[in-house]
Amino acid sequence: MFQLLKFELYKIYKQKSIYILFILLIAIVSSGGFVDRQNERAIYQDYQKFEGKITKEKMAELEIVRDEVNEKFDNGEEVTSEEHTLYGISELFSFRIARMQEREDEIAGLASEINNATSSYKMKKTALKKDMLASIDSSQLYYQKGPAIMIDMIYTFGFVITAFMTIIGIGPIFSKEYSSGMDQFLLSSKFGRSKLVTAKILASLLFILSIVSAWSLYSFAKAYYLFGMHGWKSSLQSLYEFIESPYSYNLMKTFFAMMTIHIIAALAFGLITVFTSSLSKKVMVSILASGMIFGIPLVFDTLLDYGGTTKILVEQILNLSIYRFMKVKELFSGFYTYNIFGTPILHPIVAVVVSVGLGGLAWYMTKWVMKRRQVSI
Amino acid sequence: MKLTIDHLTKRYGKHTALDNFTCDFTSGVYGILGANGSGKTTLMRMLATVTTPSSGTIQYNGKNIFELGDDYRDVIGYLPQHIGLYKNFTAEKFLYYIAALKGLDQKYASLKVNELLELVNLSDVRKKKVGTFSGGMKQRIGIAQALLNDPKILIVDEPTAGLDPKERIRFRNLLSAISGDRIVLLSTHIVSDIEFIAKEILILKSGRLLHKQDPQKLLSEISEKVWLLQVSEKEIAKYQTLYKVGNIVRSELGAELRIISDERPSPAAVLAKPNLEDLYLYYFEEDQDVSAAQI
Repeated sequence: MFQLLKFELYKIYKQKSIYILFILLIAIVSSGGFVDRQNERAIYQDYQKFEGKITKEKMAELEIVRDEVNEKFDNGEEVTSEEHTLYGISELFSFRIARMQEREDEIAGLASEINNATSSYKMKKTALKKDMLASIDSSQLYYQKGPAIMIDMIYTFGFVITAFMTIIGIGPIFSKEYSSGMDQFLLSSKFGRSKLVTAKILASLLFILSIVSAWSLYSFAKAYYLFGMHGWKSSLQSLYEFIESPYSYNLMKTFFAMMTIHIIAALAFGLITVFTSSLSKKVMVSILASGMIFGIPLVFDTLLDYGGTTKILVEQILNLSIYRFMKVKELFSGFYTYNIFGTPILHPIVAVVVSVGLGGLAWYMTKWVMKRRQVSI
Repeated sequence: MKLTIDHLTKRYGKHTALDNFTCDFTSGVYGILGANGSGKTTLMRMLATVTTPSSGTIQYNGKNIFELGDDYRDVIGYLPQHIGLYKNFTAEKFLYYIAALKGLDQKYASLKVNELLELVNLSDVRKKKVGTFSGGMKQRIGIAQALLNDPKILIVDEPTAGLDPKERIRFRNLLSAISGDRIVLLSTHIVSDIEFIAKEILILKSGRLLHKQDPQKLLSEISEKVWLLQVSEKEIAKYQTLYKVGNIVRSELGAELRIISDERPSPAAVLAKPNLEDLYLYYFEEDQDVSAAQI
């Protein structure tokens, strides 16, 4: 088995196309705006004094800076970069406090909703949201650009890199055997319908893990070099995209939760790709089929615009797509539950269960297909 | 050791590729002779379990081969008619890969790979990529992979295609040498491949088994149907239209025709000792491209 796994890995990594594609994708990711590293170091220094709990003393100190800066603005005087940073921190403080107040109001509103709930499910769902919001602590502020871009990478480029690499690297895993005529050797050999299939599946999963590791490593190196690894303790709500998230996670927990779900969904997508490959005699058909499984929801999500009930329907479908599971962002940016026998189950849990289910089914179906596979005429 | 085929049929839509094929195989070389489209490859594929029958059964020592699954595949070696190889693999790596697929442990695999590369005369190019190989070299790699697990049943479909005469003789002798304790099923439309090594010859035509007999008995059936006739150059065309004509040997006097016919084609014609090529022509009137392959 180990020998077969080694050979299957060799076959996957011997494809030049995966290296070309990976370099191309990383080049696209790297082509973003310029970051002044020295300036970022200075900003971090300015932040340090105000990091941690938002206190009245810190707010008072920043209020003075704020007044001075406003005065300079009025007089048309130049503002130092330190003043600029402190002004920004004071704004963040104000924003955080406002958000905390809004959250308090929302919790109060939810409490009355619970009393007026028309069904047991609605009551449980509202209570769950209320408890989740109540447990959020966003009263701390940190310089967190490093972790922020690492989390951002997951749902902007990372999941696309994983998907594209999976489609190109794994798509041909069986169909290339059929189109090259190697299938006759494989299917007539002792382990060609059993251990080889397992070896191909495991090799595919390892390949996906290596891809996720590769872009994560790139993301880490980039974040570390440009911003440093500070601010992991900051709350998830400190990220603009997650202001309304009900999850009381810090960035460290968020990163690992998102990466875990991304990996589970990516492995499921890999298994689906292996399955489509086992069905297709042509490499291009296999690549197109798995490409469509990922790409159609992406097109609906990013390119098409809807309104009213259509949007709700499309969102409901998208929320259960492997594309959105891999992207992860929407699983944590809002409060979304599924009614499972009257119990509200959170979207991330559903994503994991559905991914594992789909992956398991694809694994089983691939085995089933390969047990019965016949060579073409 | 016995392979029993019972009423085996394979249909592709409305087309019947193999029709109600029944026979037994025990140790020895079996030559399966037939024109293109006669069902040889379909039969071989079913024997190699890469295609399933539409009806009928194949049993190995009394057990259905498709139920035996991996256990049956463990005892077979298969060389398909059209082989595809991994272009980026070296000859050696390819054989190691097939050895792993066949479940050979690494030490034994190493021994067998060395032995077979030697046997098929590819030791010198063991580190070369298969993609750079000629057709004949690829065929030899195909032969080597089929023998890796010392198969009890060797299924080889058109194995000599692409081999030069020396290699073909070498391969024939190899099959003959190893056939003592195993079943060797060799499909071909090149009669010289099986003429001297086959224990029995199966003649397939349009998916049906016409004959399964030892070569001498088959030849005795056409012992009074092969004629030699001296004709002038002008008469060649006439005889070709009227009869199945095999070899034409030209001389200063005209030409000597080898005619396969149930009746004496001319009072001047004399009976000749039949060979398998004559037999082939006798059964496969429409496909007369065999003589060129005779060594």
